[in-house]
Amino acid sequence: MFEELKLLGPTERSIVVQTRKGTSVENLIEVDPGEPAQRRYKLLLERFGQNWKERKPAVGVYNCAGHVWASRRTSILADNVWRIILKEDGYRSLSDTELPVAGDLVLYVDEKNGQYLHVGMIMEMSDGVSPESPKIPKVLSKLNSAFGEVVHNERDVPYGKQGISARVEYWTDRPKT
Amino acid sequence: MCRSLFERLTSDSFALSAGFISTPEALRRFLLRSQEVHDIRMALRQGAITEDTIREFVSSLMATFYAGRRFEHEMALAALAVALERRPTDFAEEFLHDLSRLKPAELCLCLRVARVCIRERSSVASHSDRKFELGTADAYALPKTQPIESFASYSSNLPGVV
Repeated sequence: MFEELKLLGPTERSIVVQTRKGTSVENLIEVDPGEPAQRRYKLLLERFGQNWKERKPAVGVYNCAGHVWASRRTSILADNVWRIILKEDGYRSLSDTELPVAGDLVLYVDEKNGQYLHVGMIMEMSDGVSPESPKIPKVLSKLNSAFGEVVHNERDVPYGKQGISARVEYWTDRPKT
Repeated sequence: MCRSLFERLTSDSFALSAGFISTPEALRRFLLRSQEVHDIRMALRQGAITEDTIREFVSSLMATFYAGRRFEHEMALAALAVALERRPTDFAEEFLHDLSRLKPAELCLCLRVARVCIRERSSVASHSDRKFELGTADAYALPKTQPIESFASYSSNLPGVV
């Protein structure tokens, strides 16, 4: 099967990415999304993104992890590599009493199996519905390897509609106070 | 039935259903719980679709492949990989191994899903080894036999031989 692709050979391209400790990070520079992916991205915005603010249209090259950890140069796909980066780049999980600030990371985790689904960067803590209500983190997300970047409320993600029960984890590289 | 099932796999809705999922491990888990993968498995089991129809379907998908552009039907291939993960046939083996060994950037996610499927398939296969408690050697020993020293001594011991 896939005879044409076997003839095409490898077209994956990667760059040197390392953690602070020097561990190599497996990565892949994604190809152009093309017209079908751009069409689907628009559909996604129509269906789920009424309250999202688009920062950048659909592009390839990087995914959400490449956005936050590789300066938009490449994609980092493997779940276990995300864990290595968090550990070796000195990130720590925020405790329940600590509030995230701009520049911290929000990781979406599948509650059923603990696997990471997505990572985004917190841009600001916006006001809640009333002065007393808790502040709402606004997140900058590269939706996937073939879609664009949007700013959205932390909870404004379509996992529930996709039948996925997701929780969030906040991670920071700030020292503990 | 198989046409509508395959149409679902190539639909925009199905492709969008996994938007926001960025790792192959999480995508496999998501697909494992999806109605589409469940329906493919059932259809295969009940004979509503055959492995040959899947092969033809994959060929038709590959006709839309363009080098240098993200492959439009990655989700369909990833779903087939997950649906075939536990199918103990040569076709499933061929599909998963051929897909997982490819290295085109255009379908980087689905071939990584296939690699996870192979890992899971191997782990299931290794867990299906069975252990038998045989007890002591004596309990299961064959009846003891006497070596035959010669035909004459053998035949002289047979009943009815005088």
